[in-house]
Amino acid sequence: MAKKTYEVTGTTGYEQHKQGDVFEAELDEDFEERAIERGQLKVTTKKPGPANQQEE
Amino acid sequence: MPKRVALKDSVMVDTTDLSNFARAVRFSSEHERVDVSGFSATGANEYLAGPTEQSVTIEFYGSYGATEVHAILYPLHKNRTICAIKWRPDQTAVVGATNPELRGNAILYTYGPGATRGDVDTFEATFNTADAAGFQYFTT
Repeated sequence: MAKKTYEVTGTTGYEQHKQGDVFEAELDEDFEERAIERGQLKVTTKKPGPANQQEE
Repeated sequence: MPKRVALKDSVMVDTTDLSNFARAVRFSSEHERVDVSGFSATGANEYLAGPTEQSVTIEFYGSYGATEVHAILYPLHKNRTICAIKWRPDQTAVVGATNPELRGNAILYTYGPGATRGDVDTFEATFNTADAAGFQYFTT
């Protein structure tokens, strides 16, 4: 499984990441599917970093 | 260690921070007490510790927004999904000896939200261990 870049889209965050944060991780396939389906995460091409560094 | 009023607890279910949607957490860990008593002069019972039953019960506010309580818990229950549960006393501090984090993989066997007219919508969800590691406290 390869590392991907994810953006936190859910208001309830992901681990220590808040909504809008972008991070790199190698997530379990089942977990990734669940998280994307419920709107918690999305795969992105943005650069990893906290929400306040992300461009609109 | 000082006494504390529970205010800043961190509650994570399947990596989702549901702290603000939870108002009570109770961890239970109980070894079955196996009676190995034999005849004795005192007549006192003798026990050994048997299998361990562990659970984490969380009282949630019923909420139906995206990535909120229902959206997280119901699919986990419906699909019998094993998920990670984490609880620590202070969400503003890192995990450590004075802020230990309970962690484990769990299954939500029962999902039972409800509502009463005029009352705050709350319900309890009990997570049971899903693997042999059980729930354990971590300090790192």
